[in-house]
Amino acid sequence: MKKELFIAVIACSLWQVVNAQDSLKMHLQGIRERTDQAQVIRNDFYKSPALRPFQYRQSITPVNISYFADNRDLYNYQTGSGDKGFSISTDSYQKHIFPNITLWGNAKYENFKVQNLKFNETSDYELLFPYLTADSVGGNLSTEIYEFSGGIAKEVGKWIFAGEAGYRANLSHRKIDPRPINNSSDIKAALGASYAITSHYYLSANVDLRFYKQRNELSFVSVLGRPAIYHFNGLGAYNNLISGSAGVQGDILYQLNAVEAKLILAPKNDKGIFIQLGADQKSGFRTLPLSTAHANDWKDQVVSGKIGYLHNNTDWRYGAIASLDLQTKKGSEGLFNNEGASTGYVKISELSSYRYYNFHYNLEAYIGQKDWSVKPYASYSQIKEQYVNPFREQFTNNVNFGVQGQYLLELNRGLFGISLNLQQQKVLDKGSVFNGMVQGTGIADLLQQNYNYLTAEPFSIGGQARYDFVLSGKIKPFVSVQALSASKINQKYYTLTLGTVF
Amino acid sequence: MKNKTILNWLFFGLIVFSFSSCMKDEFLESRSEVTIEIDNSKLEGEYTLSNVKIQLQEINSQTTTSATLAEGADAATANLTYGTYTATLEGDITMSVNGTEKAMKVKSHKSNIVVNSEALTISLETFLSDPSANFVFKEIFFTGTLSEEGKQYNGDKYFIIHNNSSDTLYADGLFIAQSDFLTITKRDYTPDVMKDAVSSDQIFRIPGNGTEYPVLPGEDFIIANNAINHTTGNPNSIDLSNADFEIELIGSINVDNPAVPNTVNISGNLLMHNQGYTAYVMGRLPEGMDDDKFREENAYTYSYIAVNGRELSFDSYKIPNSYIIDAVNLSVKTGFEWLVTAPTLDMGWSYAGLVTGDKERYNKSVVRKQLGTLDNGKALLQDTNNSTVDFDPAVKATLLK
Repeated sequence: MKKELFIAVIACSLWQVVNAQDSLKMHLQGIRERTDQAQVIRNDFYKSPALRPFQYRQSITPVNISYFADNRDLYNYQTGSGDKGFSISTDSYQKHIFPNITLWGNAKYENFKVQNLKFNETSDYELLFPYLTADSVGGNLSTEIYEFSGGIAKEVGKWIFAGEAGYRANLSHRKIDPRPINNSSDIKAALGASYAITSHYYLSANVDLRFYKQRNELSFVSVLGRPAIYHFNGLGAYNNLISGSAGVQGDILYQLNAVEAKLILAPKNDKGIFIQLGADQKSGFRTLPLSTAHANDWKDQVVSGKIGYLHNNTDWRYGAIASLDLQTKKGSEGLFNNEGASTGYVKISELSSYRYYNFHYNLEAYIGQKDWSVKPYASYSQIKEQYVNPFREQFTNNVNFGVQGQYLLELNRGLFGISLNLQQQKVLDKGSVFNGMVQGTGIADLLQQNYNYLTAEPFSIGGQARYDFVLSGKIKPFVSVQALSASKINQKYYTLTLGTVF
Repeated sequence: MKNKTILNWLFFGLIVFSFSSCMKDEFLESRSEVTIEIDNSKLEGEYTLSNVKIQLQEINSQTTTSATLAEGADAATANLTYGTYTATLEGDITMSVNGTEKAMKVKSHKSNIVVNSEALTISLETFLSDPSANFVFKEIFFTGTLSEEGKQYNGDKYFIIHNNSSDTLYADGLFIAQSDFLTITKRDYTPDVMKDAVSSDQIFRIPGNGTEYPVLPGEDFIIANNAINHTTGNPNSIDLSNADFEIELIGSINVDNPAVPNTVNISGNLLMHNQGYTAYVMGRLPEGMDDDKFREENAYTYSYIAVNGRELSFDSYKIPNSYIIDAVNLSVKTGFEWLVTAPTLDMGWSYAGLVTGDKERYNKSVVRKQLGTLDNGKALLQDTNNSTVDFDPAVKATLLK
């Protein structure tokens, strides 16, 4: 079903391009405004549906296929040492098909392996941590992701009304023990409106709703033995009563509802002040096979703010953006009593036991002319994670700073862009307390490894080259190569993308 | 000017966000004040408790909280987070048994204690634990019964063996031997090995591969002479058809019940002395020793000088005391002369008959006393290695109707 839907969306996207502009100049302008780093910074402000009409000037529909490979020697065990696979995607933006209407759509298929996962057999880590199903064996996880989204914005006088909907499915499995089969679906819908408060500025508000569900099943075929299964509650702590039951049949279910609201002040063009305030709350729970009661409940809240000033004249472009994202995740775990075969596991109480804080402050600026730009940036992150009993804690205060330079060279029938990014992470303060842990055990190793990764100080060099060219009026291919190398964690990442723009 | 106003509002917003999301949240825990009452109703006689410690483990999180019972107190308190707990109690107990003090352990165990209210009282019922506990003779019925015609009836004698420990033990390989020497006749045997071994040429053992015959804590099993329903031929007797094992007697008196496993004779055919002049020992051959090796390594000849001056020699086996886990000396009340085991095995003796040849001895056995209960509520029997105080003498055989 998902495959058919994916093919249908691709076909629709291509059909839309019948009226696509074919002027070389406009085409290159469309590429430039999507690849120029100064434009990319600006574009982020216009992701809200009711500001989409101002995101780009040119309508284009790129279709591309990418191969990517990421590998790290030092990594978070629960997210793996890197992903390796390919993706096919299209991302269409159309302004002029109907009067005063902007349409956009996205379809993506990814097929990759999450490599060397350990102590995590659950998909979508970022959404569900720390409530993961875990075993000490792990391995590679084959993952397919189908993603579709689309939206429409209609300008009515001083108003813009917009709506957007999207769907993402993650199908993951492994064919050797332990054999997780994880199916997740993620549905999003957003409504927004913006109003021209002056001739230059729009005030936009949008509300995004999200419904997420994952069915996580773990099975074993080998008769020679099974590893213990842990239902983690944070920092390696797990419910001892309901963990270890590898033989228990049944699914682990995750469900999450989210609501996000944003208020944005933005100019119609790329000159002026941008302000964004946002609040996002995700409420999730997990149930385990032995009981229908919630084994865990959590709330994940992010408040965010962003302010920027951009300027653009015929000679120079410059701007600066300051932002913060304050994430607080608090979780509780159910305490159960096994009443025996007749009634099973009964939840008798709840314990508020987990905290995660990630406060991120970012400052970036850029300066440049038409063909080049330099973007220095710095960020400060405070990350703290705690579990109540036995008390465990890890924290780090990091600064990241770097500079990214980009040069765009307009050729006779194409655009060549190259960029280089240098980044250093420094740890200002760090610490960990892992009580109740037997050294030398797998979980102790997990915590230490994850802490080492969290507090590493990598220096990374990343580069990208992209060449867009025109073969004929309808065939406008591009090729892109991206590579990154980071010290300390020994990361090697590269991706090769081939595509064409309609 | 307009831009400046917007900036001011932004900074105000950032400050509000920063204060509203600090990293110093407290974990909220629901806690309960739990009173732990110690129920010693299953302990008998005089005793003194000391060093009583209580561990309460929450089974979801495995966090453990400790409490100590104050000297002389009958309750302790603990402040616990809500959850499901398993309580274990362990302490020292000194019991006064017939004037002598015996140091043992007192224990208690209770699981599935749901703690989800502000205050809670739980009760822990204590039981005794003897770290050295093993199989013991619970009852030895050696006198037999009388037929309706008043004749001696031998086939209905039995042993009842009790698992006096808190663990499941296996009866496989357990041996029982009857001493050569009589408690009513003291002699100067040469060589004198009694300090280190028990002399016996009537030894049998339970068959099995090592795990074939489990015996749960506090459970018994019966070894009958003949595992049949004796009441069909002798209404005064016992139905032993449900015995767990039967002894391979000499052919002329052996009645085999094919449904009941036979014991394996290591030496001779054990025929229980019907007046109880002997001692019985129970034990295990050490690892790596089978019946043949036992016979080969422990065969010996003892002798004594008879009243007429002649030296009498006998071939037998000396069972090392280190093999023996329980011993009971038997005699008659007014005929006892000596113990035929080392006092390290048994410091006393019990009886069924009051005098030698006592015709009232039939139907009577010796039965070990109960000291308390194990954690499963089954009996913990008294075992002070002194049969005089550990056994009730001359009591009606418990299997007799």
